Amino acid sequence: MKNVKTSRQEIKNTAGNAMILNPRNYLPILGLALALLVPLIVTNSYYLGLINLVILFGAAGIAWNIVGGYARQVSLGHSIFFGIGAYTTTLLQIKFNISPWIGMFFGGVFAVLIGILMGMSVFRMKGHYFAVFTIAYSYVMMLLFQKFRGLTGGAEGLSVPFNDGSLAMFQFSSKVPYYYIFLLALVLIILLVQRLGKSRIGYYWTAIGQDEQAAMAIGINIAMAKHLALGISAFLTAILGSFYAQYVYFIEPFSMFSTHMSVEIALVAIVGGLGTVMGPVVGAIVVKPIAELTNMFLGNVLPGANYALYGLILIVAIIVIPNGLIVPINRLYQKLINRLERSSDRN
Amino acid sequence: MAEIVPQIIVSGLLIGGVYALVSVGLSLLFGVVDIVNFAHGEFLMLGMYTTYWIWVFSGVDPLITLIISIPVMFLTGALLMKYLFKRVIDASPLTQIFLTVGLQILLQNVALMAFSANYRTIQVVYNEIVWNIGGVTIQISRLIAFFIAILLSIILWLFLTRTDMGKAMKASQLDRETAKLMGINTDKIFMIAAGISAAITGAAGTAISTFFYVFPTVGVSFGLMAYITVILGGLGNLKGAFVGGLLIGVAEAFGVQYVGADSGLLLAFIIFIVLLTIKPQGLFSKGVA
Amino acid sequence: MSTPILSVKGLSKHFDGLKAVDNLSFDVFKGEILGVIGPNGSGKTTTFNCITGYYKSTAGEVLFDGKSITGRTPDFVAQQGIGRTFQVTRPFGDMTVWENVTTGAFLRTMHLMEAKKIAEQEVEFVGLADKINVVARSLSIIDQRRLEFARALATKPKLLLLDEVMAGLNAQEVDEALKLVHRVSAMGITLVVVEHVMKVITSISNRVLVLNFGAKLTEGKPADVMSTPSVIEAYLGKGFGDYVANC
Repeated sequence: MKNVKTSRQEIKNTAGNAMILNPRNYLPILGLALALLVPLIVTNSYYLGLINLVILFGAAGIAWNIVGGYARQVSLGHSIFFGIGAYTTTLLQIKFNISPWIGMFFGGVFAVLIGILMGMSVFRMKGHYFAVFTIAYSYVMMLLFQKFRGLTGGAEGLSVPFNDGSLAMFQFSSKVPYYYIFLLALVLIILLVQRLGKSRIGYYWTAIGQDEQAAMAIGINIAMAKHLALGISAFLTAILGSFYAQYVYFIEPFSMFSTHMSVEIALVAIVGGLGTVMGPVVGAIVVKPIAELTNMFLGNVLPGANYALYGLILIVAIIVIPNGLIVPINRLYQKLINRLERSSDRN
Repeated sequence: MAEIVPQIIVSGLLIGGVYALVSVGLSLLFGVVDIVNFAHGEFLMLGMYTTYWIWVFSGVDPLITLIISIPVMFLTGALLMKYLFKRVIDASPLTQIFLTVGLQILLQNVALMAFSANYRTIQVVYNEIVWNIGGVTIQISRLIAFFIAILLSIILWLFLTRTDMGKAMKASQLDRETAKLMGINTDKIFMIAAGISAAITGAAGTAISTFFYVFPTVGVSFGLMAYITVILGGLGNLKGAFVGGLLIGVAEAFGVQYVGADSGLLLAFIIFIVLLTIKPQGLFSKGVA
Repeated sequence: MSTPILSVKGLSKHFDGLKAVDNLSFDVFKGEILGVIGPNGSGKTTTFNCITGYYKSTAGEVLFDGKSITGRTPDFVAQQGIGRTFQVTRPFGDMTVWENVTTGAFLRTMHLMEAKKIAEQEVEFVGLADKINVVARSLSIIDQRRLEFARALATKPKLLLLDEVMAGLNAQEVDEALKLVHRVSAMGITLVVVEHVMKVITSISNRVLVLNFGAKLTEGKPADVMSTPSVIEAYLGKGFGDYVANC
């Protein structure tokens, strides 16, 4: 939840001149500076790759959170948008040699259109219906992409065409450029969602998530607000989906449109904190390495171990930490800020 | 073209009977306990594996394994209710959804770890027997599955309408608070409802095991089919779920015939999406706000 | 008191053959406080729900400020300037008091700071200033009613429908609530107040509308209405206990 006290202090801060000396301002900048140094510290390609996935799924979790966390419309179909993004850029690249940097926006728009179509049929309903519908939609997508193989490559999947690696075609031989691109995307999405959360629509989403009847009574157009949430979420998720395709070089419909993929995206938001900006990042930092390392060590011996772990984490998280890991972390962060503020006051 | 329509309808109805049973199981749990179990298809998967392993080790006819698989699945459902579902009965839909989705993923992948991804089949002598009645061919194993599904549905219906326990279950379906005031032990009712839900769905798995591959994610499409059917029929409406199951089976058969062998599900799902977009309350419920 | 701000004409709402509201007509005039009373199940809340678009009425017409709002959605009705509270409170549970009311204030402004300022004033107005940062879920029922009141006021309504906001309050709390209602009225907001308790209605309203079995029994000045035989009968017949307890 948004903390009113924080915003009061924000007013105080903007009024004062010592903005950069305030820990509320310099701590995030310090954090970002540290993040920029990561590729210098983590030179092992496998681990940097893992960090890249953490960032990508953290960002996707934030995008999911707009619909699932703020407006509480449980989507189990975000793989649709992820997959649409991945397929659109890859296909535009294969068929027309269009750069992914341009193609991803087509993917985003395409995802928004599908989101609107989904919204038209489900936003009049509540609770479980939306979740079932999103699963059904992702199934339909999976089957359609398998069926129309002439266009989509069918069940065998598609490989991103190789070209010596260039920024213009979003292709690199090292994992370091990906790291910085993903990080930039993450920061932009954080800033965007933070802004949305402090705007009218952000308040409206949260209100809808709490009580739709009461939200209508104060003039909120529920369907419109939900469409906007799903649209923004779909667009961002599609962009990240095209990043994913450019990163792994190979996509196929079964895993791209699977409910597993959707759950992976939602899971980081749930573990981290529903309806919070930084929650999904925390969730991704915790969940992704556990799952990936399980896969690395047990993948050959016990296929499925990583997903079984996902299931287990989901069950435990929803019962034990329904508000997410962000709550205790926020408390610590607040303590740190208070201590820093006190010490700077003394000076 | 038109002469194959009876064939399509019969094939659709036969598998539709199984869908109907699976859907009734889901609808029962939703109606009585007010929880949508996204791991419902996995009950079918567990039922199939139970049958498969008993058949492997004893060689008995798969139908006989029902004697063991029904109690085993009943217990599974009841224990899940006691230790897991009960925690989220009054929680938000979001919590319920993710708890049961977590369970779904866990069960699928535990099955994958335990039994591998291999597609397994059960061989029985009557597998290949086909009857031809007036130009309509009927695979005997599918007919048996259909009859098992119908039989169990009838038994469930008799239980709900003729026994005190069944009536109590219907009462708590109508109003949980009143049921409590009437002295009905809702905890026990919930466990039994979950037990029945798992048992009949597991039995559906057994019924199809003679002509369907057994693999860890076999329950996914059946589960999805059941959610769809249950929404079509109106959540918690058992008759609606039953009829919806039959209809989905027929829709799938038409899809296989006219769109392509891999497109049966596709057509069924698209029909579902279109229908619900037009009539969001479901087909069999009156429009109540 | 000449121009009606709200006109209800021949309103009916039937549920499966039950006539919850039956051919009901009444006007609400600018600036007045109209009390609506009637025994349980006489159709008070149903009437509210039909006016505000939560129910689709079976027949009839509702005019607000001369414009038809018949069959419009609740959010549209709210945007036109009709605020409401709920009989069973519906706060946004995980949000603080301030955030709840700020959400309401957003109907009339796009800017967070402005919305927050409006909200702060309304929260103070209803006497919740000391709980402004409390999460709504943890408020007492009475404070939740105050919160809903503030949230509705923050939308800057021209007409406010209050659904049994005083049920369950003790004598002192009722007095406080009455004062609040009078202050809102003094601000120029027209009020329709549904109450079960007659005493509250007579002391607050300029006019009273009495419902029974979904139809209008009578309407008029509080003192006149209270002495009407059919009103007494309706209450003696159905809500005898309430009547005696509150006289």
